[in-house]
Amino acid sequence: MHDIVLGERSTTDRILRALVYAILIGFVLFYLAPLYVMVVTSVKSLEEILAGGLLNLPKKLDFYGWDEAWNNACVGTECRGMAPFMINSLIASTLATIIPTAIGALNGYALSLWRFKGSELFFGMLLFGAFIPFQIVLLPMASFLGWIGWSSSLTGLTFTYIVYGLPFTTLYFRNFFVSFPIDLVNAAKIDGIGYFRFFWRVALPSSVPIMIVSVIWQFTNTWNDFLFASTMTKLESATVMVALNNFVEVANGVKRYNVDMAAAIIAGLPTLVVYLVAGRYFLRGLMAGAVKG
Amino acid sequence: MATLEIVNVRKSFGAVEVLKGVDIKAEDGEFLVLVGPSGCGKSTLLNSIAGLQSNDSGEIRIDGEDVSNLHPKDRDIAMVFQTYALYPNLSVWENIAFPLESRKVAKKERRKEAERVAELLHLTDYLDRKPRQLSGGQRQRVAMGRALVRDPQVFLFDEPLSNLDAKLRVVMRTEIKKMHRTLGTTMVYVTHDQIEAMTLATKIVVLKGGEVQQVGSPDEVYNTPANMFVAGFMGSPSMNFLEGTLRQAGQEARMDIVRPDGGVVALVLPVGEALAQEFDGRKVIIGVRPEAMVDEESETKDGTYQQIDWPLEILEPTGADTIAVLQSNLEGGEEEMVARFAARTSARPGAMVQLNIDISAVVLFDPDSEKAIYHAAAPEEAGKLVHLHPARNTAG
Repeated sequence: MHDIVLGERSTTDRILRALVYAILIGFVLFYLAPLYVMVVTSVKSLEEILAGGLLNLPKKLDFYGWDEAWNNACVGTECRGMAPFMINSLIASTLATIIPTAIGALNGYALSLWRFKGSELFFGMLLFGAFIPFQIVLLPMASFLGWIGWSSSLTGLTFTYIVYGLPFTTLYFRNFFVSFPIDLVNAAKIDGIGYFRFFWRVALPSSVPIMIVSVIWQFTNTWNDFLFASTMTKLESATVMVALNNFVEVANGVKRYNVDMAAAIIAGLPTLVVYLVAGRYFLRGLMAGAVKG
Repeated sequence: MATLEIVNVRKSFGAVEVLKGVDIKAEDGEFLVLVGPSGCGKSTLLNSIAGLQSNDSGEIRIDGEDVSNLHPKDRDIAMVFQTYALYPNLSVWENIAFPLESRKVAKKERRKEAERVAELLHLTDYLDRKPRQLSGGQRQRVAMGRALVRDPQVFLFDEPLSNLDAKLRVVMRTEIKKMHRTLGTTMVYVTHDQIEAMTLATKIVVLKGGEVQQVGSPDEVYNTPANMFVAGFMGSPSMNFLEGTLRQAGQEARMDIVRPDGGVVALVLPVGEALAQEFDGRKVIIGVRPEAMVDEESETKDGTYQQIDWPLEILEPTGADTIAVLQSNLEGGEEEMVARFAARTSARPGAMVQLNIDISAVVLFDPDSEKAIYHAAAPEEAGKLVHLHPARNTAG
């Protein structure tokens, strides 16, 4: 970055600039307010919460809510806390991230650099999969899973995630590799370097930015999914999003807001971690191809 | 080491016929240059040889064997691309040795081979760098190294120098020529730059619109061009064309040339009786290279000079000599002519200047077919040319 010479700025310029910043800061506060409320509520005691003062800082830090959420929260009659459901989610999302990303990379590579007769049509059909509303496939998928004996199981849910992740990951990798210099492939063909060797040694190592995009996309989408998860699992195979819903719904009597908020934060934490770790690659990946270098 | 034969190769993309039956033969160890303007089909032809695209018909023979249906890797060729096509994530040595990887050469061996080739190309200090850390010239060398490591039967070059700056281009041109002399391998080189073609080739193929215009040594293509396209394309500044009427005068012919200002000048050309008779009273076009069109002060080489007066437009001194720009009489005076005057010429723009034209280096063309009918540099073939391309003068 170079500092360009701005010269003298006019008063109108300054006022407009201040206005822009004021608006932006306003939106930021509005956006962050719910998170703030969640965090402070989660560390307040129930009495303090019921006393009102939603936006106040806690008078005394109280981790009862976090302890309850992690260890004792109930789904139905089971009171085992969130931990088992976190593990379910982790298994489903990890597999549903790694497998579609790997297959999508290979798909995208084939559909862009090693085109065959009808590959464009093939890609078009795959792309169609990315635009189908999931509500449409819910029932057919459920009955298919029942037919092969995977209904109401984590296996079935993971399988669903993998299948519906493929159009997206393929699209990402295909659009990434399509701007790959075709001369590299031609050089490889002449030098006798085969399809898989080129993929493994050249194409895949060059595709890290888009790989990150694919990972973030698959992980957050499957982690946050409620539709498939609530339809295709039962109590012990439920993911954390389904469990969270049940925690909050199941409570009778006084609503324990601190427990609910702590549970919600716990449920959202892994995706936050993924963003923080891979976020800068994410931006870079989205920009890849748009800007040279 | 191999011969290369291209036999009646045709290729269309959709309705566009890019190669219209190309026939070329390169001897073992030949440096064949395919040259022509963009869109002439030269790169398509190279891709055909490489096997990166299939032909519609025709054969590509390497050492007598038809390879048209062989996968590129089985043709035993190596190719250097215009974009260099270096693998960005691999280091220089891995790039050079990558072709060996698929041949199950051990890593130690590969490194050794890469080092050997790198030494030839002065890349030893850069072996562990990535391509993006190299300059354009170094990348070009790596691309050549990757071809060299293969020790193929035929090298293919696709405009390898066009991404380099002018100075580096000259340096790399010399290196490629040296490489050819050391290796003695058959090479096919595609370029749009006629200077590259002239300096590198042992045989030049001039292409236009998917058709071979002429095949010959640089000397043949330059001095005895087969038609006006070749004459105009090869050489820089390019050949000058003037229109005139031929009159038979025994063994010779007088060519009357009407100047843009209306004056008439004449050249006497020793074209032989047959040609003079055939074209008596007909329009012809004379081609004169800039260096065969000089002024009084120029040091004239051996040759047969005749003088004509012509109005001078502009002088452009280059130091070693002066480029004189004059108006041709072709296309209603729109075309320009370029003559090579002495550095300290006494000619003045805007005035009449006396041009010394070397009659022993001119070419005559039939304006209808645009084909050469007379090469002063090779007068013995004059009769043959007319015979080869009988003039069709019925339309005009």
